[in-house]
Amino acid sequence: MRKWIHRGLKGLSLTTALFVFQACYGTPMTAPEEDYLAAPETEVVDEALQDAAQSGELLQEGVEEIAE
Amino acid sequence: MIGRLLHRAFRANETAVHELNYLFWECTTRCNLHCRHCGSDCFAASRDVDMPLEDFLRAFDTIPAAERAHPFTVILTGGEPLLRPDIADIGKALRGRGVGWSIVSNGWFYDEAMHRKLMAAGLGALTISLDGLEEAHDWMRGRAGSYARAERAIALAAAEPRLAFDVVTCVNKRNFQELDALHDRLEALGVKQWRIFTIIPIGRAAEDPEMHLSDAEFTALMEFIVRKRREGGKMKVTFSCEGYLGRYENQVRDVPYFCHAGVNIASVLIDGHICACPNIDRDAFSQGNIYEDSLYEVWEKRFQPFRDRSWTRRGRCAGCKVWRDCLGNGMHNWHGDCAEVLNCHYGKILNKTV
Repeated sequence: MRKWIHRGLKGLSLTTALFVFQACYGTPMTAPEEDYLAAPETEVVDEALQDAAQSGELLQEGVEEIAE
Repeated sequence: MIGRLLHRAFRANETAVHELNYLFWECTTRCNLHCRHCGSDCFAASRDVDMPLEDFLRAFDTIPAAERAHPFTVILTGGEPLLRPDIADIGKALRGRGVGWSIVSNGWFYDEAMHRKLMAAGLGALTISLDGLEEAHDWMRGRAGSYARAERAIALAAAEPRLAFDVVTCVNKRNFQELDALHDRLEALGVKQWRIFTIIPIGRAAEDPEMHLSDAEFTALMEFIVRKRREGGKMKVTFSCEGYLGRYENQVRDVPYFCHAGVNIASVLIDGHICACPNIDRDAFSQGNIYEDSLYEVWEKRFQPFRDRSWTRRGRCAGCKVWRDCLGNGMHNWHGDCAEVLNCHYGKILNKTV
């Protein structure tokens, strides 16, 4: 029962849904993967994506989406 | 009053849920600078060996995929993370796990080649430290040329739309008088987010009087931020979430004060210890070690001192009328035997620093 309540509460977290926070000595939060891949391209990023695609370490469909 | 009650309820719920969103990795304690305010006491030749990537990943992989499906960022900190020769491999390994990553850097090594390399490895966010105009910054950082290097890094990062980027400034007695000029310089460089904090009296800064603002200067800093936010402009100025600010709460930040340490934030420290933020007293508050424990199990089961702050009701916090909103200020303000809070921002504003 406690486990289900806990899981329910996990779904109710507002911190990341509504209130973006940043640790006092940390960086801003990164964008979610899909937003990151959908961000505007620059020459640098274009090369970055190609490099990442070649290494197979970014989501392939996301890279293809950018290429389109 | 209703707003305060709602925020307390929100904070209590977030604490019960304790979604892990923000994982620091102190990946090195080596540093090429010698900053006067360093809380880590880092040196060029650190006694600590950089933690191997495989060790960190083994710990990271104990975090269930469902937990990482929420917004989740791994923040590489140090020391100076760019001293690690495998920095791009680290980034690619994290992106390969579908996780965003970021760096806090002094910017010295952040030239165009480094920028390209890190973007290729999926860098998602970056914070560059800039502690004043040239003279004040180089004094603070202990190395001539630091300002020029940091400014180069800022210009590169500010022009990169894929990066969530901000500049952070530690305000002290030397740079306090040039904040307007620094603001204008950063805006000219294209910076959109400028975050200001003050020093905690730990590490090298503990005994350095030039590091610490007086109560009047601190209040003037709040007024500066309020003024800049009212003026608008292309760059947003915020005060970091380092402490409770009483009447300035809704004027210098976008969200009310809430120390997320141990609620949404964890750290893997250089020697494998598991804590909340890296600037929290690791001797007093580390809850386990990745070489002996499961990182996620420690997160789930041992972080009570961060999630139940009732123990902070001691010393000058014991009878404080705003304790329910402040909860003993940021966790990084409790060190050693934790008999007394090191820093009371609320007290500074009331001109009542003890």
